[in-house]
Amino acid sequence: MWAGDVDVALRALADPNRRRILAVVREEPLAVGEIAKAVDMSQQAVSHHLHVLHDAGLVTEQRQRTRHLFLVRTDGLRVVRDFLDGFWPTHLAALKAAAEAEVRG
Amino acid sequence: MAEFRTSIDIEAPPETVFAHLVTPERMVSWMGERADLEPVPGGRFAVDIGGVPFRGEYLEVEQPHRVVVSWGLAGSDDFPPGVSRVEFTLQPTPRGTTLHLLHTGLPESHAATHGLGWAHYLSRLQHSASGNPPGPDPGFLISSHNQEENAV
Repeated sequence: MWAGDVDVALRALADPNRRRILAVVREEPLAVGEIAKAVDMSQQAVSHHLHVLHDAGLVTEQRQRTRHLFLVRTDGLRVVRDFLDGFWPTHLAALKAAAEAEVRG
Repeated sequence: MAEFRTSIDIEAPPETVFAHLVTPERMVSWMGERADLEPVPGGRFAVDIGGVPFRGEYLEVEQPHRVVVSWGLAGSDDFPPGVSRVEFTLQPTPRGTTLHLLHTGLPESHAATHGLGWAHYLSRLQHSASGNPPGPDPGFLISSHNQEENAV
């Protein structure tokens, strides 16, 4: 993972509609129409968001005969998972800054 | 179940650090954007981090040395409120406080770490000067059958 991946993933995840779409394709591969119905958006809008998520490495495509399906990409999740190691160090650094600022007044 | 352990030296007395674990205004100065806290054993621990609703209870509150909370995600089947446990131990030092953190009971499923990693992503995004901070969006990990009990 390098910084570019993270920036692209951050931008992809910044949109609440894209987060909803990711949540929908987390469990099973779905076609664009099925995703659109689940999140109550147009197929055109869903296609656009899937394109962004795909470019960010967060979803992957599958073919099942004539069906064109989308699914959360587990490698993309691994990128997110790697970030977990940063959760507490990042927040505790912020706690340190906040507590020390208070003492300095 | 996974665990995570770390510590950090803080140049502030334990009393000050402790306050950042039990008062909403101070909590959101370092973690999350909304907090609803009831720092007594069995009391509510509710912090929204990047729009992700982390929920649990205060399990131990010993001013100013120790705070233990349960920790999970509202509405998550894989990582429900209370499933994991975070211990903050505050050790006085000549220069202030060493804070020891131990997070135990972390589920190892993809979905659960996804949720945590997500929160981290989004909080980073919120703190990024160049970013375009997203508004709170507690709905995206919450299944409709399990609505928020501790609205903040």
